[in-house]
Amino acid sequence: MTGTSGTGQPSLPGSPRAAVTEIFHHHYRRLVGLAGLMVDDRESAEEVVQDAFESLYRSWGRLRDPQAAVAYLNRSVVNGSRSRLRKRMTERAYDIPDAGTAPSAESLGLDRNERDELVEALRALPRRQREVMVLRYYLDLSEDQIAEWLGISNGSVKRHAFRATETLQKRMEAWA
Amino acid sequence: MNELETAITATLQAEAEGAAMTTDTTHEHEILNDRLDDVDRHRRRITWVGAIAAAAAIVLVIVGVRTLGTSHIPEPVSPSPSSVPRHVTTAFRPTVSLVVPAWVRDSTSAISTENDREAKWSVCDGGCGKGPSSVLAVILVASVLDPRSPTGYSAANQPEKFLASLQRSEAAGSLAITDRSTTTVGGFPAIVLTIDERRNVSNGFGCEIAPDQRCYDLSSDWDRLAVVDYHGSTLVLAASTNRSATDAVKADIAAQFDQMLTTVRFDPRPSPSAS
Repeated sequence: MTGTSGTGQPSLPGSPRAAVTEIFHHHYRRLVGLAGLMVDDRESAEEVVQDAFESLYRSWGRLRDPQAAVAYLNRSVVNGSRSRLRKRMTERAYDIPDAGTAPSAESLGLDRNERDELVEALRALPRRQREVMVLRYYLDLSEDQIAEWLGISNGSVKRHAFRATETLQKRMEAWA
Repeated sequence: MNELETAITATLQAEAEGAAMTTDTTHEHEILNDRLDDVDRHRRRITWVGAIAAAAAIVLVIVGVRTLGTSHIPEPVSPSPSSVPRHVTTAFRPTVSLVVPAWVRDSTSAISTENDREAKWSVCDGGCGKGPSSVLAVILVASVLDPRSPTGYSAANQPEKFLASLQRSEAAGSLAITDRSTTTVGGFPAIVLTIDERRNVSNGFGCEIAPDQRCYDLSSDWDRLAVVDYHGSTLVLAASTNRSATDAVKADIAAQFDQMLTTVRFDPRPSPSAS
């Protein structure tokens, strides 16, 4: 029987180990996807997510509810990805995932070439602009949240988002 | 949301799903289980170390009380310098000579790594090669830079900027600084302080000055830090453990680290990197 807490959040198994395992099964793939957007290669993404789950397990006693655990994981993955990227700033190489495993371009209402162009343009963005775009459009964070997560001002978030959008717009127009 | 924003959202989702679909969840779950096993072993070990430290403290108190009860006060006995091996860095610059703490010397699992910018001793439980999870404690010697300097990574690597950065992080609630004191390390002025990392902050400790600089994050650790003003550059020595370690363990690590600082000697020749 699965109980629910007073806030309506699903409850987790009593032991931290079981709870982390359950969260792993529900969120692991999504988090690898998030890390993949930021670090470009799957192995690094997997390591970042492993680190995040281990950190969650270590910090379990300080978390109040399952929602806090998922938020903690999101943030750990973003921090871990940024840290990893910075470490290899000079040896960055893009590894585009196998297009055959991704949802079809048609299912997104995008032409395949158009989507590939957009993927390439997103990956070519300066690191900070790309981080802002991933947090804004993939994690759906507000400007305030992005500013806090990245440790920058709201104005900087706006500037990075504006420049990134402008770059992508120009690239797509040029391609069209 | 306009057309471009919709396309960006859809593209990011497709990219993320593409990356997620290629991962082997079963295999990754096995890896996670191994790592969590390491964490559990680490906690058991910390508990034992804490118990032993507490027991040792009790013995010392008892011995102290008994000593006070007698009229004879014995002369303090200094450890013979020749009885403890000194470690001299070979790759790290400037060359540093020091006596690492007993919990590093006595550990069968201690791993020493060194390059021109970092000398590190990790004491692990279950194998340090499995990732940071198994690290019980670390001694680190590194040159770092205030990451939030307005002039960026080319800014001067000044100790006061590094300390100011830590104080800003403290004001932001990312860490807490305690037990701050002034001393000398190897003849150079230094500030020694204890840091309780309360939030994960990328580059919270700063980055090396180098084209491929590595950065040091705040990551829920507890640290005893010595910020040395080495010819005007920041040189940091640190002992770290998980902040969930018991107070007894932290106190023991701090005491041994502070003792280690008294053994530090720098190569008297000027370092080419220190300017």
